[in-house]
Amino acid sequence: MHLSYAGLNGIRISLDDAPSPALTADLLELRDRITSKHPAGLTDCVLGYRTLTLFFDLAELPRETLLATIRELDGVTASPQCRGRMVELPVWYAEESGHDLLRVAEHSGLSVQEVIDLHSSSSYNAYATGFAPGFCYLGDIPEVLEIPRLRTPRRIVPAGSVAIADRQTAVYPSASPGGWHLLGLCPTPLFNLELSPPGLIAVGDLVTFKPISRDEFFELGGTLM
Amino acid sequence: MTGLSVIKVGLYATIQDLGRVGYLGYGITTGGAVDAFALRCANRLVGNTDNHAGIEVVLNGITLVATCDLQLALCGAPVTLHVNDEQCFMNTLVVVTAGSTVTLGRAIKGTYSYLAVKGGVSTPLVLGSRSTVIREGLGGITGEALKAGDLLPAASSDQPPETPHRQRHEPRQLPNKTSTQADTLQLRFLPGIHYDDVTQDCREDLCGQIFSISGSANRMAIPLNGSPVDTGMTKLWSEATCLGSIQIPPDGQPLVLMNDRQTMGGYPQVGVIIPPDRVRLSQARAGQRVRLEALSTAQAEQIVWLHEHYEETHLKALDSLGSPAP
Repeated sequence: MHLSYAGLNGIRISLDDAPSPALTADLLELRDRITSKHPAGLTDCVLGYRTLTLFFDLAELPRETLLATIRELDGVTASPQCRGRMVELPVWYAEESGHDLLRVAEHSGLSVQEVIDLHSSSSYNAYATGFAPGFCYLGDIPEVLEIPRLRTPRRIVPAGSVAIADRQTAVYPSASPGGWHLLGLCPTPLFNLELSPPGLIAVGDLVTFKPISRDEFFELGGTLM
Repeated sequence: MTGLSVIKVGLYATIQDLGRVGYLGYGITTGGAVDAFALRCANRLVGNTDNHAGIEVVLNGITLVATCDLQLALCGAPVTLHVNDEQCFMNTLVVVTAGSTVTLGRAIKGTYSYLAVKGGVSTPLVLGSRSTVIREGLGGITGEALKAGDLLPAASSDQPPETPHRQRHEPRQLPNKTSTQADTLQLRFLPGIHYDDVTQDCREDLCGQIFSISGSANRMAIPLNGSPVDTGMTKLWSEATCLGSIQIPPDGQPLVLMNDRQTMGGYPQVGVIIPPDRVRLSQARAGQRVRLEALSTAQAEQIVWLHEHYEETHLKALDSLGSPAP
């Protein structure tokens, strides 16, 4: 465990291992133990692929107190049963909804159907949330589907786009610029201000994708941009 | 609905309070007034609490019409302020009657000015804040910058103005964080995050040269132009960003991350600029020369403590002016 400053009101905990679902679980365990020990004073806890960054209110929580708590937890790991929720997301995979399906198929040497089958038959760990509200970095996708980001990002990726880049996959919660390859569209809103928390997927969740038809996409409330 | 009607926006203006705190873990950035002290001063002058939402105006002013009697105050980067044809002071209470035109001119120096209205601008609360973050489409009026035709709801003043006493008090002398281009702005930072991972050459390049502020600075980030800084680091795993982080992308031109930054980043961050210097940086303009300087924790803590104490002293002195807001 390495500790470093993230400003006067931030501490960054970095673990040495390569990112994995087990490492995410360990980081969540650390976060939960620290937040239960200090219910007041912590303002934000942000998980990265192998880091946990804690922001706190110096007036309520002295840095040395927080550091002492963290040092006591060095070496703590999550129990193997400690798993996030299962989240299944419907996806309409088609060239009409996923403009890069053909390109991904060509790049991987697979048929379009094989790409869809592979992408929808794995479960993915939610490593981190960021980029945009409700955007979750999911991985790892099967190695054969690995593909570098677009050289020139699209100016607009439609909301609900299911996309891949490197060994990661994600759903774009809202229309935004993006450099990932689009495979399909998910009709389920990923970000809703009326919900608490506002994001559908939380770090540590296990996400799966279920192929649906064009008709089912519209029945589930999906729209085309 | 009454309040302030937007007639014309010079460059860019948004609704801001002190930000959306506690949602970084969900990918939602804080936003909030870039120069929080200036907004707090304006709020205190009209009798608001510090977190009431006001209008953050960038560089080129704004023209508004009051649709009811209002009490206003303007702080931050110095600009001319007119109510109808009458020139008014910044840094004090301004009483306006329904139908008055309120005009902010171009900033004389600095970048961000703040117009507070008694009772606050009451656009909808989104996750506990009215701050506008355009990239996220949150806050303000439907998540966008202000434009002509917008009506900003604000409560009518409980005290009808007793003209001609538009300004009952002398303007206050308030510290502001604007600077003149002749100075080289000192940006002191607390080393951290990847500081121990970058090369010694990188640290020397960072602190041993004078950078200039790029013309593409905005509420997300302020790029610094200089000879490229090579961190010696390759691909990183995405992790939390900080307000004031010095982030070094592959082109070697440092970016200082600001209020509307993305919550996660994949480039090396070598430290965090202390809050008073971060605000001075944001108030400075393109071309301003800046120099980075690493501080020890003890130095950073002492400077920040003294600075906060200094600001609190000024804020307390403003409390006696306005009557409390509802």
